[in-house]
Amino acid sequence: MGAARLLPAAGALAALVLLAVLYVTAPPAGPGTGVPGADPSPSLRATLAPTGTARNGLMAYVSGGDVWVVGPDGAEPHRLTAAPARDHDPVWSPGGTRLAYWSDPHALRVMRADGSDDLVIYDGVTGGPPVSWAPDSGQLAWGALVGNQVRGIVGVALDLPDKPWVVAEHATLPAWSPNGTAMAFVEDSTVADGPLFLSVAGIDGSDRHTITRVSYRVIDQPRWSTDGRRLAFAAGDTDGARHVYVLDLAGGFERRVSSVDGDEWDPIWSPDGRSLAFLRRASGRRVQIVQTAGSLDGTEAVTETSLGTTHITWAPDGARFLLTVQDLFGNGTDLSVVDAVSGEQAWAMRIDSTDITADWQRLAP
Amino acid sequence: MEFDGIADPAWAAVVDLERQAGQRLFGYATHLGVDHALAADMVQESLLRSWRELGRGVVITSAEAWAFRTLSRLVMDQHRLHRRVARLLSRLGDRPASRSMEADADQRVVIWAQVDRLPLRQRQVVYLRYRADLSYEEIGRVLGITPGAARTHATAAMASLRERLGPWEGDR
Repeated sequence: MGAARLLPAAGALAALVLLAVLYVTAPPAGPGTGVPGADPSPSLRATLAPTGTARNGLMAYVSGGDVWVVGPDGAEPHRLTAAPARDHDPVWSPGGTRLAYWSDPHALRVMRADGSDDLVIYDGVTGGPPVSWAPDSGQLAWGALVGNQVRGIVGVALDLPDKPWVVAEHATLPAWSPNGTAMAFVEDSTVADGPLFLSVAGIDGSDRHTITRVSYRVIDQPRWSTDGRRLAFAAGDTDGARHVYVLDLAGGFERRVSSVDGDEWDPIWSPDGRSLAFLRRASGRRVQIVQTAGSLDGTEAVTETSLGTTHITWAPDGARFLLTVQDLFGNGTDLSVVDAVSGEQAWAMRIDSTDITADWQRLAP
Repeated sequence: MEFDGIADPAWAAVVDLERQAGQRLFGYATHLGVDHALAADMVQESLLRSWRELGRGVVITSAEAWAFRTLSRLVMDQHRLHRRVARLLSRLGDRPASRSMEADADQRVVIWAQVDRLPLRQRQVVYLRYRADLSYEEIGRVLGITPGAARTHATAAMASLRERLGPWEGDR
């Protein structure tokens, strides 16, 4: 119970610290100040990262508390960070040129793909993963304490790191839309295990509205389809099974993509946007990689993998999956790359980590 | 009690408290729903805590009221722990929580011993969820991971525990 008792005090301290460093401003002019759902301006289009399939770049992961990268074929793993702090949750920018990661206690840092120009973007005691990149790779959003006991989403432009803005209060787990104008996020419940909803708003917080039909006790970070028309997310009861839902933003509410029993999580869109893959633990023994048909009207298990499989990422070329697989007895984690069609393992590598996040760099075709 | 020949006034006060209120404390604990053995242990614990506080120089205006409040908290903690164990057991495959405290203790020892063998992150999440009673959002903030990751670690831990524990004796 010690941790629980510490939380209010830590929260109050965090609020003071954040209020001291975070002055609320309007989001910077330029990309991303439009109306949710509107088409991006021509100038924004020019800055968008490539959607659809791309070339496979480096895989970023955490081993021994540092950020490492390895080639797409498993060759030449090398470390990018070496500070004593525990680094975690690396996320490539959509353009593949920068890597954002968290460095304990709560610093958000961004560096170039080769590890150079490693800069602190935010250093508040209450921020945490996940971060979401804007499609132009020039802005970031994440969850943090933005007021007295109020959590919210903070955005910042990389070229204006001292001018963060509050996208939305009482919100968490942001996901920047592919056209850069909107953000989907989870409405933060004010009570533990309280009801949670998904909402969408402009990146300045305008036109905020709830989009899920019912509330959930757990919602993972939502994932936009590459055309920005749909959102996929996993949600469920506190300790019950989560299910994967897809929500069409043009109208209608969320619907489950599968009727199979079991805990489902980590929905990811294929790079061409036509399919969705996720993980399912159905029998209590094995984890399945499940893929939907193009219409999302049916699912098929690609393959079964280890019970310790915790995270899945689609390769930028769409041909492979990257899995993180924890050893059941705590002897590290495997990075495992499998064929997206056959489910055959291409290669695997043991790393010293209990973190589950890894991300695959997109390179222009 | 005397330490090196020095009488301990705090201990004397607690002995006096036990004489005056011991039976009523015991009755209060059993009235709150714990069995006799546990009630006796909890009365002793509340008296010991009174002694520790008095020994630290804490001014307690009514030692009896303080002991009752402490006892009440101990009992409620026990009930909460019982509910958490029941919830964890049900998550591990429809195993009903045992009705006796002794069997409950046995289950706890077996389960938490296996929890201690889980990978670090899974172990942390299970402890924070089922012992500290934190939500996955709170666990995420404590560990610096996303709520979804916390939930995934818990799912993996439950699957691993089911695998390791096998059929529960009470199921046979």
